[in-house]
Amino acid sequence: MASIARERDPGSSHYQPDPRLQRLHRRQLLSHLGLLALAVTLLAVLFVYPISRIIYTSFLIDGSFSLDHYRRIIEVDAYIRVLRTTLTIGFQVTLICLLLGYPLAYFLASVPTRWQRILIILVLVPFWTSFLVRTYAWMVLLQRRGVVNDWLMSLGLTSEPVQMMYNRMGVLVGMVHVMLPFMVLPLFAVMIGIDRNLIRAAQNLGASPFQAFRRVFLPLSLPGIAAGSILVFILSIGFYITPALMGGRQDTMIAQLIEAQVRDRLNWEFATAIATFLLIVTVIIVAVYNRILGTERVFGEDR
Amino acid sequence: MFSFFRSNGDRDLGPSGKAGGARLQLIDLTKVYDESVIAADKVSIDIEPGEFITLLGPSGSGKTTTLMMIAGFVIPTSGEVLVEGEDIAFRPPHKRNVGMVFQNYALFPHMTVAENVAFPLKMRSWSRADTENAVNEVLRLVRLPDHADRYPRQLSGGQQQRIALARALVFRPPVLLMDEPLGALDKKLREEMQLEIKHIQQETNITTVYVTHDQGEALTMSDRIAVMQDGWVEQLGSPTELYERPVNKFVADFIGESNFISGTLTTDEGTPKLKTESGWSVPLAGAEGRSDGDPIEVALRPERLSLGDRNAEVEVTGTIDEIIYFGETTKTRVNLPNGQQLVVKEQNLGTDREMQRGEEVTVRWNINDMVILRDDLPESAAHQEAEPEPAKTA
Ligand SMILES: Nc1ncnc2c1ncn2[C@@H]1O[C@H](COP(=O)(O)OP(=O)(O)OP(=O)(O)O)[C@@H](O)[C@H]1O
Ligand SMILES: [Mg+2]
Repeated sequence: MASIARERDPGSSHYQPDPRLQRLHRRQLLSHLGLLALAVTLLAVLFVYPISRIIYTSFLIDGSFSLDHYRRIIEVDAYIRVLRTTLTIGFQVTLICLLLGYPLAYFLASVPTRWQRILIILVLVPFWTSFLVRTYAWMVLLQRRGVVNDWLMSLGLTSEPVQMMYNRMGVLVGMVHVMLPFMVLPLFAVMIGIDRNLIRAAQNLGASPFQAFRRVFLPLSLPGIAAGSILVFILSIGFYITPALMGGRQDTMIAQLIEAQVRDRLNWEFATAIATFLLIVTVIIVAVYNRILGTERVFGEDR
Repeated sequence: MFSFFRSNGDRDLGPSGKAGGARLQLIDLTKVYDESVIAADKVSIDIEPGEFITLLGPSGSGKTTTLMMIAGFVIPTSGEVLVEGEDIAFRPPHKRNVGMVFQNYALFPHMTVAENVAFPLKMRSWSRADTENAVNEVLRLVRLPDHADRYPRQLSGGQQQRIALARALVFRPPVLLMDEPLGALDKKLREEMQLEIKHIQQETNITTVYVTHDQGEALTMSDRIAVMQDGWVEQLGSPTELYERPVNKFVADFIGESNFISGTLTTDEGTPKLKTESGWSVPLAGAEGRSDGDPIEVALRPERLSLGDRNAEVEVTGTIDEIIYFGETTKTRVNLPNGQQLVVKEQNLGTDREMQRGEEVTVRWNINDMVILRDDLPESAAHQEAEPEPAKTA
């Protein structure tokens, strides 16, 4: 058998593509365009249009352009107070969820995989019952003559019922219960991605278990903290049922205010102004928060 | 050339003038998982200061388990880990002062190269100036002085490997552990890094325990190799000893390749011979201490066999069963009339005439090329052979 060495012809630099290849490309392009069109339409109909309408309406008084709604929000103490309450409750819920959810997610991420699946389902179980039912359940537990107070008194921890509802505590208990999975899941997702060898490496290099956590695990879990916190915070400040049912007068949140404007006063324009105002404040807070956590250090581009 | 380790005044200097690593003794180190899986079985190795020891064995043979017991991430069921005579077997990992390079480097992704390398020094509260000097020096040692401000993801695999090594060396541990550190690299880079790691190890004279399942890597790098199987050290010795005098079939097969011939010992006209079941007999050497009728097995390296016309002490004819071409070498499998198969490995010198399947050839070798294996010795005696040798006189 003689071996063959083919000379390369420097002239034949362009090859004629097979027509079948071109047809394949055209079909791929069409399907991509189709998907893109679908996504853009959905986004426009369900998101861009409603929000633009809300923002647009918020600048109208009886059909003509005006900034009066915003002036009113800023000048009337009650509105600012409700806004502040809303943000405070949002922060409190986020913080409590983080403090409870971080160890929980850490535990979930540490157990063997076969346990993980079962435990994750347990975390999600609350979603199987209606939100309203859960709120009423908490009311049964926490009311003056409720289960929790009965226990406390029978254990002799208090002599008279403790007020646990129609105040901030009731709101926080109800909201944290609902929000916890939204914190735990993003944290868990980030934590299972952290190579446990990094913790070992840190310890091998002289870090105590606590130092290894603080200098390696914690910084690497920051993206999870950021995602979970932002999710919980944003969902929290739109809450309506829990503060309405379990909160006191001082715990009125912005959603209740909007509801009152729409239902009692039929003042749609002012209601949209409040909503827009909340939207702007939220965007600012989220931007600042992201900045402080500095998640780009973990995700960031190569420089 | 490097002042790094020599400037360390608090470690006594060895005869070569280099700062020495520590003496590391593993004594009957045993790990039993779930009360039944014996991952390490009385592993005993006496490692001299500055020695490079490799744990070599197939997957699941207990290499990582043994290493992790030295590092402190696995607590032994029984046994001792002595560093300079002090038992550290039950100390938490961060109090052991043992450097380790992990298989996937385990560089901290949120820290720059400099921060990674400085990490162990920070944990030891070194001053800023000392830290900076040490980091610069060790980065020069691994030949990456200009990469201090990069993040690990901006480095190639080989560079990450060097940084991991630098980080494990910077705090001047007396013992360095490496678990398949080159496993993720391609062949070329791997061979380059083998030499580089070896040079750095010699430069720093740090006592090193290296884990690999690549026999070539083990032969190239090690002072001594411990061949492991099922948690047991089958043989401990220098690369030459292991290759030239494997004690059993497992070692002879795992390191390099071997032909095996088994039969019983007979004495024929005053010379000892191995007689196979089919009646073929081959003259032997080194069978002292055994008596006629004892079962015996020998290993015969393919490259010690030849098909050429040289003079040799043993000659046997057979037919070629298969020819496998490897570029620099060719392996020829020859069927002997007595049923035995022999693989012959020869250099391709470009002068040999081409051979064909089915052709009749003569295989030749010398008596000393046959290594008598000790598999047939009673268990305890065979294991005795695998015990660590007494430490070489320093
Ligand atoms: N945490 C554990 N629990 C139970 N058995 C284990 C555990 N870790 C290791 N083993 C078992 O111990 C034995 C030795 O494992 P080890 O990881 O030391 O092997 P190895 O030589 O490092 O193998 P490889 O080359 O695949 O890394 C194996 O049979 C393994 O299944
Ligand atoms: Mg291993």
